[in-house]
Amino acid sequence: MTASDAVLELTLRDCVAGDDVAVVDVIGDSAVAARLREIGMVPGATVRIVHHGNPMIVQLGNTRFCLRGNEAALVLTAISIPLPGQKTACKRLPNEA
Amino acid sequence: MQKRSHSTIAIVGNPNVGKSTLFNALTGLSQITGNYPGVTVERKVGKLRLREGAAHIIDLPGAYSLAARSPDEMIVADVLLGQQAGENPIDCVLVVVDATNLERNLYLVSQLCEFDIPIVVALNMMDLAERAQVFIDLDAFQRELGVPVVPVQANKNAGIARLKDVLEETLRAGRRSRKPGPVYPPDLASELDGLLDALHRHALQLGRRIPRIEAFRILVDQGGHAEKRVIRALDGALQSELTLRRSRLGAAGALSAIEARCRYAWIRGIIAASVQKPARHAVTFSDRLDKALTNRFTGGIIFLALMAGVFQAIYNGAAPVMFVIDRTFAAISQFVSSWLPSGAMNSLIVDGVIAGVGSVLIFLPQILILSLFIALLEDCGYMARAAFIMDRLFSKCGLSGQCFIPLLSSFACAIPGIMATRIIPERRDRITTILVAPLMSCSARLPVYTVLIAAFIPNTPLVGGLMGLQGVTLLGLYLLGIAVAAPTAWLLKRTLLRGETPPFLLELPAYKTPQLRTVLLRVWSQGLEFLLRAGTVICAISIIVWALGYFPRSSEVRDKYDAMRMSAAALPTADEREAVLARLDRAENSEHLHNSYFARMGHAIEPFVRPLGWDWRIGMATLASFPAREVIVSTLGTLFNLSDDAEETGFLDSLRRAQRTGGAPLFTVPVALSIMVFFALCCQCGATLVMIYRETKTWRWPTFAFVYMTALAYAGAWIIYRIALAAGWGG
Repeated sequence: MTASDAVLELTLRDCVAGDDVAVVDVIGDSAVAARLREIGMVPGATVRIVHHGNPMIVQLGNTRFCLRGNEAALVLTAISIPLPGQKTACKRLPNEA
Repeated sequence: MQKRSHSTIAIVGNPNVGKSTLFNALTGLSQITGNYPGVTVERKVGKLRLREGAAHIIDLPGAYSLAARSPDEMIVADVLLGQQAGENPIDCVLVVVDATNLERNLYLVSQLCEFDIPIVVALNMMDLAERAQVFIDLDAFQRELGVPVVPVQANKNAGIARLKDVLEETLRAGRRSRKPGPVYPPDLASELDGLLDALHRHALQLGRRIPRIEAFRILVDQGGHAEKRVIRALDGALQSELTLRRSRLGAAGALSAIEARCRYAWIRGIIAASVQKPARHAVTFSDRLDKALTNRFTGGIIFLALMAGVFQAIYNGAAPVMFVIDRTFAAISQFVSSWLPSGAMNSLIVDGVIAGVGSVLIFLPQILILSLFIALLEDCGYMARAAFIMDRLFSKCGLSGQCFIPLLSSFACAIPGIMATRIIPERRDRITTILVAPLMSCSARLPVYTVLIAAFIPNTPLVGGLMGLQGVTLLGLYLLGIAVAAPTAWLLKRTLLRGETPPFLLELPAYKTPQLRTVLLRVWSQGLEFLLRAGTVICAISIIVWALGYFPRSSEVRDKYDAMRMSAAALPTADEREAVLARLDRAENSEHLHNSYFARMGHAIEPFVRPLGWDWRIGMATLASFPAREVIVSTLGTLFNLSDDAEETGFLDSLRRAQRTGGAPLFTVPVALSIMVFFALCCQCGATLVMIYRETKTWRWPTFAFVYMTALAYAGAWIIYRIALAAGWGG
């Protein structure tokens, strides 16, 4: 991630199919939030959006999970976008795992 | 130290890692399935033969973590903590880890490492890991974890021998190596210490010393299973202290976030030191298959086609076997009847027991085929996709796609279906699912449907020969249950069981070829359970029904017919004599039946069932089937074997020839339809009602289920009868 890229925080629900995004955090302390953390939605993990819809399918590590929009909205993710004036294509945060 | 004859090993692991496959490989056919007292979660235990002696192995349900939220997971946590009634303390934990999903699987392992029980890790799916280019340095991995690790391939029986040795060694050594587990921030550790002290001070009231890992769960899982149990035992004593400690930690972030962060940090350390993974995950066969199967359009079509195909296969595939069984039992009846002296005993054995049990066994092939398909779909991984497709519809009714799997199981039998609701965390959703589960036409209704359809619905080909009218009617009956269940669930979630639509988070396991052994074992156990029910409950009811139809035997009637038989002996030819005697036998039986207790009860309810097009015999047979649905077939069998036609005609023929008083045929298409619709919607299974009681722990819900479904069934039967009459179906 270069200094000229801004970081936009979205939730998993806002991402589209094909995206590889990094998890920033899971919102809240509900039972489902805890379950999301247990299966690996921790800061630094990479999630790939396989199928967008409601429910959506994501790939976490080597496993696929399906979850509804409400659950996906609990997961904060980050992608980087170029600032205006730059021609670089949309970049993703580097894998950390 | 207690001396027990056998050690106990518990198998745990994430869902879909091959736990049950490994359990089957270790225990073979020595496994027995039962229930934990008070809950409907299955208890599967088997025997593991070791070099010296044997051990009991318990197959526990899959769990991602010991933070228990559904009844399933609570059993796992309780068994490991030694808090599960009816279960021995665990001497060793065998945790099955999927080598292709190490990080997530190690989460559970990190929790287990904090227990005092020795652990053995079975690293399964090594072949798939290699294919995914995940290379594990087993020595380093074992060293980092601090517990024995055995690579296995459960579905190919590879590594099992070595696993048995390691298990035996671990049981004998009795202690576990201590390698430091996840490291927690100091404030969490200190609050935990404080809570632990408080709990130890209450040890007398609790009756035991709470171990550290349980205190951890009490602290971190807000409003969770561990907390509820302890607070209830202490009458709320420690609640405020707990809240205080949590709020002090709250500034650092959600408690479960802290736990997850620490555990995954530990996991990443281990992975970094011993595992080589590719940077990107390759597109697998499962991915490609999913493109078609989870696509809204093609996925839905494939799903419907699969379901339709299953039903057609049931109907056609079982027919030849059914024919054989029918003829066999007819022959047995003939033989036994001629061999025993005539009288009450003869009638009891032939018309009661043999006819009764036979007309139920004839439908075992269909039950087995349905169970087979469901087991195949589950084992190959498709079921989760079906739940995914169904979630949209389910969430509109206030449930989630997870509720689909128990409801689908209910199509084989509502009892395992209700047991399968143990995966649903929220109680209200679980009860709603349980209450609509009996609407899914179970295999006990299949005898009723197939007999009446075979006897009265013509097999006109439809859709250019792809399906027949009979198959379509069968499908229609199944769809009826579904069509009624959806608004019922919606209504329940809006009124009696009001609550939010549950969250939906489900793993989609990789597709795999279904393992024959797993599937066949499942079908075997379901078939066995049905047979045992057929053998015992139905035999008992068949005898009672026979008795109600046989007694009281008026001696006047018998004398009257004996006199007529005497005069028949004076007839010239043997043929004439035989014909007259046969006719006299039939007439006598018929008259006895009309005087029986059965007839009296039937007549009593006749006014209630006449609007449905029934007569007293159908009404009585329906009442007799309330303890167990499939009994109506055996009851009708007994009824019509006993009455007008006592020759060895096939069952279907007797039905077709049955007549009302006055000569009109008893079973017309509208009547057949009204019976089938009644059975589709009515909750007549005593065993199901008992199961509902066990799971909801009150008699209110089973009573409610019985009442609402009977009302629905009556209304439905009446409606279809009127429609069929008006439309002139069946001429």
